[in-house]
Amino acid sequence: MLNWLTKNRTTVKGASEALQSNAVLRVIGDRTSGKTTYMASLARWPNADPSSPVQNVTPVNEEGEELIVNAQNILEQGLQLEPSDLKASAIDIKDYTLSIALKGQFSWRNPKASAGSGLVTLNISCKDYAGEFFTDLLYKAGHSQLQDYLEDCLQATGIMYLIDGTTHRKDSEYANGLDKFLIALDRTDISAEKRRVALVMTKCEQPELWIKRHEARELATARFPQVNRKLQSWQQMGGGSVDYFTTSAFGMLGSRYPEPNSKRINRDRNGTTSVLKDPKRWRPFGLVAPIYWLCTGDRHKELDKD
Amino acid sequence: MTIAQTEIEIHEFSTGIRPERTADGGWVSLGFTGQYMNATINPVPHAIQRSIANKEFAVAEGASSDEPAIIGRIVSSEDSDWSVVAVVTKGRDEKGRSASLYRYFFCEGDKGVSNLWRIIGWIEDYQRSHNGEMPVFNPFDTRELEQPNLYTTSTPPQFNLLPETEASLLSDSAPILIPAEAQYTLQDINRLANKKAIADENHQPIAWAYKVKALEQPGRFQIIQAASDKAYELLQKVKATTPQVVAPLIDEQAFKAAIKGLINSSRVKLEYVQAIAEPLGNDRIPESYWKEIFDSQGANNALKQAIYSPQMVRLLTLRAIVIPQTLPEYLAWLEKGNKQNDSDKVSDEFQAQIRISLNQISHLSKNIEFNITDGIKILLPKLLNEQKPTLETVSWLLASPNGLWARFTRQFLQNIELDLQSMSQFAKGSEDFKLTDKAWQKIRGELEKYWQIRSCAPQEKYQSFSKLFEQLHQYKLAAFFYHIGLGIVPREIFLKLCPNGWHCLVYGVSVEREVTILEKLQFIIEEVRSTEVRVPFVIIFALISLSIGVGVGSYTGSPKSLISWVQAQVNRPKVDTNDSSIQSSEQADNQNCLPQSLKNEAVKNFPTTITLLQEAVKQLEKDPEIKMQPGNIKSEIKKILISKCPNFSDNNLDLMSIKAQKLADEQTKIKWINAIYFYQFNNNLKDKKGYITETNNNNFNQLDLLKSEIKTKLIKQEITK
Repeated sequence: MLNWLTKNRTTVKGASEALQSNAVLRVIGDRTSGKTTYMASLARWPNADPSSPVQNVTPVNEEGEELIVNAQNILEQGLQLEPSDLKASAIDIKDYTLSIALKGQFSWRNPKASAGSGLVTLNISCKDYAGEFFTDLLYKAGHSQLQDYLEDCLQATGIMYLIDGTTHRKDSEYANGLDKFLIALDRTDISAEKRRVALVMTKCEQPELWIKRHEARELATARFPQVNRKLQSWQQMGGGSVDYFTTSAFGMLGSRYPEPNSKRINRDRNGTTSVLKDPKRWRPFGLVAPIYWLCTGDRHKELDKD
Repeated sequence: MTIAQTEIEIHEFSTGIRPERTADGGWVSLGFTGQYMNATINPVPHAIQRSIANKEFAVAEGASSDEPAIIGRIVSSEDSDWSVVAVVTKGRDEKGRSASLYRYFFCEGDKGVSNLWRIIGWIEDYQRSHNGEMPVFNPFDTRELEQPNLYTTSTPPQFNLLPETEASLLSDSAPILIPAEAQYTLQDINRLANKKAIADENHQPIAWAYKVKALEQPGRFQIIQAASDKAYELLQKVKATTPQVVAPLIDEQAFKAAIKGLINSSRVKLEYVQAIAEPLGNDRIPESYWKEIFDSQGANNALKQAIYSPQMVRLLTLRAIVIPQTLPEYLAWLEKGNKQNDSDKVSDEFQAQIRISLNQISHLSKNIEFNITDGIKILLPKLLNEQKPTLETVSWLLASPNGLWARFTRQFLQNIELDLQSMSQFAKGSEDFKLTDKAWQKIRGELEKYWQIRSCAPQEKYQSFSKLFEQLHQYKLAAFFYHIGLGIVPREIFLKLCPNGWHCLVYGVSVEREVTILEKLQFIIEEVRSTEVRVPFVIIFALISLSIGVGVGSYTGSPKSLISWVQAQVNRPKVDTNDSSIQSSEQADNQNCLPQSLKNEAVKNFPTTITLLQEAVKQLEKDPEIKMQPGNIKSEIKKILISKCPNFSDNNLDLMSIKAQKLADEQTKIKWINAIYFYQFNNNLKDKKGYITETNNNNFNQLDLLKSEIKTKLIKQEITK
């Protein structure tokens, strides 16, 4: 198990002697689970905390830059992003390429590499599939469009499965969709690649999730037991590795008397819809931790403290 | 003006959603279907699909509103021009998110004929019969396939624009922005766009946008009317920063999709290589356009921020293929980042796959081939003046076994050779050259004198060429450029061209061989042997020089001048060098068998040599023509090898008992090496190194020669028996 994880590590050193880790990612999840908002907040990286291990997030391609524009023109205006269109062909899905620079940290696993390096760079290229992929397309077995998406997914070394943390009543639906996804992916993949799957619970600025934000695994087990079981059995069968994360694209206001930096528009069984409340104090949390793990296979202690 | 009354078919289709009725009689979207809905035609004509994919109708995200925005344009295909009008409105999903929803109308027309005014006429009719409402997106307005809207008109469109207003508007550069409050009709806007398209003569098809907030491709319109004052301001800002209207030269999105498809996967798909190769043949596309496309995919940032992810390595490799001018920059970047990562391997693998796919894209492969050769043409002159990329990197690119550039290197070098061969004519005024670029003209200008004057000063910068060609095993070119860069050709290179002699004609220029220290000493000794006067002086001088490493030791001139130097020392009449002196020097080598300088390499290659010889014996044993005991074959091979080697007298050496892996003792090894060297020497083989390797074709021949010699002898023996 550990063997492939180390083998799968794609860490290299670039010219600036910064450690470079690369990952090709696919973000999947229900409609309005916050996939594009996650990406836009990550690219925008507003009001960076000087004590954060993240030095900066830079868009590399035009699609990465578009995320920033949308974050400024839409999210910061207190509006919601448009739903992502279900593209007829997976090649037309936007591929966000970002470069995330982290301040160096000491790693016991790789002491030599971490000792002299001031920086770690995570290079990711990431597509977020329209929610309809997860809710509709996966159920159309044999459909050429599904096949096209699955083949596109094979390029990924890591999958981010985003769940609106407040949609615990949809646990069995999610487990069902996830099951379909993992089986279909396995049957498409002739080389039986092992992948990392990050279960990322979003909208954790909501109070009931925020208080548990440092216990992602426990939170997932409690709120999404069926999804959790599916992932665990997939891991045990040798499909790859699984880990759990909590994030909020909007973050909190205040630290002693915190409240979500979001205005709620709607909340029901299908989850929570909200918009940004105070763009000037917009500071998301937990966005880079899953990416670091997907790139390196290690959890970053400082990022987890976010 | 009257117009013939004709009925036209206006087809339509809309964004595909899963709609749900709401209590208030409206509807919400439960998600996209990824297919068009309410279509009167299936499939939608390809040209229109591509135009939509290229965002030519797209309003920017968040820029749709309840008030419809209308976009009209002519979409050209090979046989016809499609007139297309999109009506864009804002819809909502069940979660309250808004989305831009499109209802498209189109009709087919002959090339150069716009039917946009007819579609507008139909829309105006629709409004008249629907209380002024526009035919906006409506998921429940179900349409039947093959039941297009029919429209008949004989009335020419009415215009509100005064001629002077029109003239003043058209004097502005495209896209002409019209403020929200201007009371123009759709027909006015269409007419303006039509006139502007004709006036601009830039092949930009007619395109206009009416009451829009923001567009994805504002540069691709002649007329844009803003939906509000704020939108007008925004559009003005965008116009100021975007370049003048450029006619779309290629299917940009298809090209970008192909780039993405190629860089994001370790497996290269043929369709993407095809999509890249196709537009490369269009020489109307400026380099800046390609650069912009690659920058949009991150090329510039990868260079600036030193990002060496496999995607970026593939992206920049692809850029170097599409834009040959970027090849040197690409190599320098690769070199910089390659100290600690495997970028060269990623590039190698990518190149190998593209190389394979070239065979399958037939005529299109020429476009890529042309660019690759162009890249080499641009790259090589850089070696003369710039430090980056280094010789090692260039050599890697051009010699990589499965490399894309490597595939065309030989062909390119042939062109250099042809040009060098033509140089003697060039000196006489002929200008028939393969490489006609400025950089190569300059090189020829710098080389010209070597054909004209017998002894020219070397130009040091050309040593990089000589080293490169040596690494590429192009010994003739290497020898030539050693002559240009150093004034002399290293012994081992020279001997590959001319096994004997000190001079050789290369491309019509006489080049000279370097004299090794050993040879210098031999010369001295030879001279001393035949010298009656001042003998003790020369011997002492030579010994002193050798021991302190000056004088003779530091001498690196030509043999002729060396002789003159020796002559000066012994004060003798002039002695000319000729082949006999070389013979004697080579024979001097023979006395000691393999020269010391080659010994280490021979020892290193000894295990391979023995394995190959043992293989040869085995093969001969199996040869049906030889009916001899296996032991005799072994002894015969040894006999042949040692027959002329004076120091090889140990008859107990058994070839088959030497285990290549557990090596024989040093002495035995040296004996075998010497024997092989002698065999090579006496047969005047090209490679005289004291070893045989598998990789070198020449050595394969050596082994074959040895085998056939043994075979002939053995068969002869059989017959005499």
